[in-house]
Amino acid sequence: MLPPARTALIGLVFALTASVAFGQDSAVPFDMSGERTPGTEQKPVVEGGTPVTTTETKEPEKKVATPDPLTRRYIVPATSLLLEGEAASQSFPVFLTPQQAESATSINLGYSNAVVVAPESSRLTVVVNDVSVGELPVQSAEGTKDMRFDLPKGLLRPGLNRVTFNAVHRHRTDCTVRSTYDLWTAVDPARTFLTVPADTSGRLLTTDDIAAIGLGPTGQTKFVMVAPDMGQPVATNALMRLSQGLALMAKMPNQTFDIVDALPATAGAGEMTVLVGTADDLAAMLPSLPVTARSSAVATFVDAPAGNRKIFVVSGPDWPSIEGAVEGMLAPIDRPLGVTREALSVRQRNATEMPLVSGEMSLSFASLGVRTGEFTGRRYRTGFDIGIPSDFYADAYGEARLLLDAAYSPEVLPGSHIDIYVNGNIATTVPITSRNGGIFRHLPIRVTMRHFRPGPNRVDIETVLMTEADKICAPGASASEEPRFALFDSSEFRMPRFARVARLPNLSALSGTGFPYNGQVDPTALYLDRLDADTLSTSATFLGKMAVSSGRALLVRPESSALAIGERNAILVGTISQLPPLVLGQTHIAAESASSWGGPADGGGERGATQEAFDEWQSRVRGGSWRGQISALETWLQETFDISLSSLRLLPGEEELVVPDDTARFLVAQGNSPEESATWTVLSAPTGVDLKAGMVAMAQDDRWQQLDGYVSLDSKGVQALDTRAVSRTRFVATQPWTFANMRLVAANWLSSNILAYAVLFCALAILLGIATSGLLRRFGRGG
Amino acid sequence: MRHIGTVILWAMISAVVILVITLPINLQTQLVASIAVVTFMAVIKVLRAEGIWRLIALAFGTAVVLRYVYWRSTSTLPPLNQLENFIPGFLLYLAEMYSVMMLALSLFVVAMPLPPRKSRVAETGKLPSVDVFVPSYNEDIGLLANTLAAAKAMDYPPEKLTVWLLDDGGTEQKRNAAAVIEAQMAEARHRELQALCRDLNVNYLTRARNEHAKAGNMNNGMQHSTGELIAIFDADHAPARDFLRETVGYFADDQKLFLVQTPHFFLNPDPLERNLRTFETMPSENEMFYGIIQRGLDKWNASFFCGSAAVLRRTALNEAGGFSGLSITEDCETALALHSRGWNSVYVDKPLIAGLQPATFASFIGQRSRWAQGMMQILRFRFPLFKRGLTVPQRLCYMSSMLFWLFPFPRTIFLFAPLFYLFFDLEIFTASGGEFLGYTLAYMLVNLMMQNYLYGSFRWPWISELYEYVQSVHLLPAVVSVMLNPTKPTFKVTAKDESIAVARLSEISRPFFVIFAVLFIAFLMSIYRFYSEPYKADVTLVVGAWNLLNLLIAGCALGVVSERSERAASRRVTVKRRCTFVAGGLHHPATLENVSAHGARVQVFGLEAELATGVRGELRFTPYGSDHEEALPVDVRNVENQGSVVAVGCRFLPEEARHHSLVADLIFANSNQWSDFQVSRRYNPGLFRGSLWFLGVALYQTSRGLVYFARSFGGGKREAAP
Repeated sequence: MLPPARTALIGLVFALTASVAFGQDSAVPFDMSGERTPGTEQKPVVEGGTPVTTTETKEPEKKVATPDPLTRRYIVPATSLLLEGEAASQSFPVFLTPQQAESATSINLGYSNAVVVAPESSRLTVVVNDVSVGELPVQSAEGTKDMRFDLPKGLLRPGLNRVTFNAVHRHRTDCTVRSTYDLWTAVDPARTFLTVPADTSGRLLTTDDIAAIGLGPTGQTKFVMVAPDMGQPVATNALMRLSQGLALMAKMPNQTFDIVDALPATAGAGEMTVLVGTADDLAAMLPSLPVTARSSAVATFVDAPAGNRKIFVVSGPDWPSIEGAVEGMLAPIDRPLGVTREALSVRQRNATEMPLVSGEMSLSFASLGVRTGEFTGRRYRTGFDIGIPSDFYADAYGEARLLLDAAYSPEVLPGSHIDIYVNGNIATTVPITSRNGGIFRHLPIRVTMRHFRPGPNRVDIETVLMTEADKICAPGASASEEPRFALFDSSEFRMPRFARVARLPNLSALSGTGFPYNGQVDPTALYLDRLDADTLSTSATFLGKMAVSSGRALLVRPESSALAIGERNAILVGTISQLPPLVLGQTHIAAESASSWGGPADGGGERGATQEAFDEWQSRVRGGSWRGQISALETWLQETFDISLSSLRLLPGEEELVVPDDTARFLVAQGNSPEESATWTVLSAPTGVDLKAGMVAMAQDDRWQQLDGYVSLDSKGVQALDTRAVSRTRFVATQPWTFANMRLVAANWLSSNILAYAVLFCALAILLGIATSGLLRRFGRGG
Repeated sequence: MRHIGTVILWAMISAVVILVITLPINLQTQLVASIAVVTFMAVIKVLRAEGIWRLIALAFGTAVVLRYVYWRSTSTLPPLNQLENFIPGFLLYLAEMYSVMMLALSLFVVAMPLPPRKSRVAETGKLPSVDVFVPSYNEDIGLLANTLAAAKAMDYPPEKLTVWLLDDGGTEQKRNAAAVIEAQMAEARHRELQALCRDLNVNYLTRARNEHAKAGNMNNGMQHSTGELIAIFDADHAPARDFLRETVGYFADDQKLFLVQTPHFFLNPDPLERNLRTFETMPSENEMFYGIIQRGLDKWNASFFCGSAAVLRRTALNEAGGFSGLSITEDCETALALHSRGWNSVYVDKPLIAGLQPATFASFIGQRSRWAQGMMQILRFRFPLFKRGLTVPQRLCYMSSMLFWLFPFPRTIFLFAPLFYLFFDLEIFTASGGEFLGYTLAYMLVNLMMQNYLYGSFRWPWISELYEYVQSVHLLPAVVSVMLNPTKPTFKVTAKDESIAVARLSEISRPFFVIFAVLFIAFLMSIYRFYSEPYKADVTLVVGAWNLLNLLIAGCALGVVSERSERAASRRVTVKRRCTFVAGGLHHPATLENVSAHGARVQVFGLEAELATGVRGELRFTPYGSDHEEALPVDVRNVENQGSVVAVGCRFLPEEARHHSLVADLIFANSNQWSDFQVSRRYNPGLFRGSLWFLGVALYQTSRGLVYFARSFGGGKREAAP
């Protein structure tokens, strides 16, 4: 039998390979690096490209007659999709225009699977709007196989539709829990789509249809904004507001903005061309520009000059009128200040809205989208998403509760367990200890909140079941139909009231809910070091992501000088060499990086090597020196009690200055304004090209969710962001002052400043002793 | 209120402390805070810091205990919908909360006990008249003779001292009993005691009917006497010469004083001390009560009457209608009644009497049952928390004394709680290994440290647990029965002069062996489960360790119920006193080495002729308060040549009343010897050494108990064979 911890660990490895969206937490209870089981090797590698598929790939392409990209509505917003384990399910939202909903006739699916999957007992099901449209045995081990399923008439609706892929896998020969990690089906996003015939109705598109922009074959969504006038400072505001408006309408997970000055000839799937400029500037480019644009603002779809496609035009006689048009678009979708959200509108994960848990709250699994399920296999994983507000401050002390309604059959052996993961980190293990089956009725499970972060969060429940039958593993036993485990949707997730106070700098709050920019009344200062395509694209993409995270479009005021910002919240975008030293200083970027970053490899690299060698020597001679003793103590504390020496410090240390190394290409940094009353966020890179490319990479949802600490560095070809944790935090009250909240804030602060609590505790005990002594001397008989 | 500022300050600090304690901090923080506190307390303890540091150490402990309570209440109870876990889990929780409440009450009582009072010698001028009551029921005449003689020999003007023997064994009811033998014995006793009293110049008093037991007997005594003060001695409690001198003076200081209580000092070991052989080395059980708790009660003017070795004011007793007899512990009940009427009490922390305590385990349990039942009766009939007239501290003090006797319940729960897990797989305490370390272990450690800090030199580690366990087995039914039927228990006189001729198992030892067997099976079970169920080895480890601790205590208790035989019928008391040994008409200078009620050992100088056993002789010495030597007839029992001196063991042969007085003078007159003896065994071995010592005792006593058990079967067979 595998010890529970080890099984959990293996589960974690696979969870990580499957999705890189998990928070980067330096204090994960288990070190997962270097843990790879043989099973992993067979799996498609997810690094940036499409899954590696076999030779069969080309064949189906031939069968499909001259595909017009516009007729495909891709479904999966990622470069790959793995359905892993014995039972897996993924849902995706697809927004359709009325015409598309009407005319779409079929759904295509391209998939491959692991060799060890037994076809006779493994099924793949495609469900559209809760109606199963296709079911097939999983039998495409040799290469990607394309399937096509017809859709019943009227199944698709205008607006949001939900496409779900369910996979049930069984191993051919193996009954162990370990073997379930070798089971997978890879859905190829590029070959999985709804077929939508080209629009022939001649119906006019409206701004509502912007939401139907869709995805490209690699899960990308791109707005190409053609702004011939982009160099003019007066245009900046309209462009930034417009990009936010478009982002809020589409709300696609990986959406980027490309600001160019010339009209591109074509637009692929998941792309939309938007023309922005005064009527005079656009007239030359676009003959079909409505005449009214010369007199009043317009925002409408028109035919592209070439090719059978529509482009969106925002124009007017001058820039103020264009701004008016943009505001007109924004008004119905923007969220007024002071209105709080009940859910985070990030649809990408499970095609369900994500409830925003901002205080004490009980959510049944049914309302979280987890259905009652019976399970016959060995490892069952299901979960849900919840949104956490940006001023969440309970990561050190907090404990949420799962009240689990579940049952397991008598054949389940003790030693089986239920593991709860939060954002991929194991939070709790509940052992099953009874031999004769059992029913949990609202079994309380404490789930630590330390892995929760502002914005979307994933909670997974994984059940690992062991049985006598699996130990014997008779032929065909792995496909037994006898349910072993049931999870009921009457289970609840119960969030206690938690401490709420904002901390700055905090990039995870920025990525999660756009904090601190999301709720401010005054416009945010926006400093762009130059008004060129790269900088503006970066800025537009960033603000687009921010708008979706915030659930509202941010007001910005372009500033031409960083020094003029003063004590205002600001976003600063520029190449590293152009940013003023003041800005670098406030955001803890080493001043020398302005000249050294991106330059030819010089002293920086050498210094790194020296440091590396030094570290290595230090670990080799550890036994002797007292410094070595201390680090040994630290390791022991960390391993045994999860206490690090830095958490034993009484006063927080100064932030370390960040020197981006040569592999880094883009960074997001946050710091205080000089008077420490406002927050500055810096997006920078060595060159303009890196800036734009880095932001595009950062806009990918899984990477956006990794933003954390006070600096996050993105490196080419590396999946995980390099994040640096904040040590000096500025607290900003976001809630009305209440005793209950302050108490919880104090609990969290003291839980993260352990020694402070011990000191406070002892000091108070001494005071109490003295006071009691005074009291006892005055009362009762004296000595 | 005079010290309103102090109270407000204290309340504010307490509020902040509570606030910090109830913060829901994480486990790591708790762990570090616990380590800090334990270290701090250890340093304070090692430095033996006193004064304000005592309260600081207690505040540390209190804070950790309160954190445990907070955590225990909020995070560890099994869910309500799992009744099979919840009910035992909640019982365990209640038991723990009871312990915490008792800790709080005892902290209140003993946080700052009154230092021993300076000797308050009464002025000779205007001394009040004193009646000395010696109530008796069935005690041996020799015992009574010593007590009465010692009472008569007290240093007090004879015209103001009247000694009364209140004999309830010779009442008309007894003498006219239907059973002829009992009636004859009562008649004989009546006659002999009357003669003894005549000889000793003591008043003999009996009454018609044995109504209201001891309280009724003493009330009868009050009706026949007139002294301003009443001193009370149990039949086996002989006072030292200075008893009245040390106590009477306080009544002149305070006109509202109704009681001066002094400690009970015992010459013989209780069964636990005898069977564990700790009497000479370890402080007695009651020293914690008389050495610390009564002093703590005294601070709050709540020191109460313990039935003997006390002086009371007649006017106060009259006001309350004499001694109360509603419960079977009339002493505490009387004190409660008088305290609630605004009378004061004083406790003098100096042993001024020496007495006997139950020798066998059965009579020890009988005595404790009476106390427990009596306290439960008072709790039921005179609930002190809401009794009008008492100050708030007095209410808390009385509650502390009464509620203490509920200990059989939590002790039983602690004993059986691990079995729920080990045998039935119920999880009645939900916590992880880390939490157990950070909260429970810290709590237990701090609790032990606090106990040691408070009572260290009076009570060694784990001894309280042992005493509570050995009593719980039989006290639990007694307490339950008095709760169900509070008027049923009646006063039973505890036999104290029994002796154990042969080593044997106590007649009430059976349950201890059964419990030990069950716990031992549970111990084996925990080992088995540790290996067979590795996925919950941590829980098994913790529960198994808990059960092992119970097993150790239960094993030690087997030794307690295995009664050792005792050679000397009464204990010898070490004295150093010059005397003259007269044998064959020759006077030899000699030193008294030790004495008992029946004889003495003397070092005789210059004894040349060989001394045969059985030779009659005399001991001549000057009694306290006399200016000339008097002679006590003896016969020689054994002789041992020690070089320059010869040690002679001799037996007293009292022929007249005066001889009893001389024996009493030898044994009881000097109260300092009791104090010296107590001080000699009063030291604090510390938590670590004390625990190790206890472990050794427990292992040895387990084996001894099992040997006795095996022998009891063997013996049974041998008897059955012929």
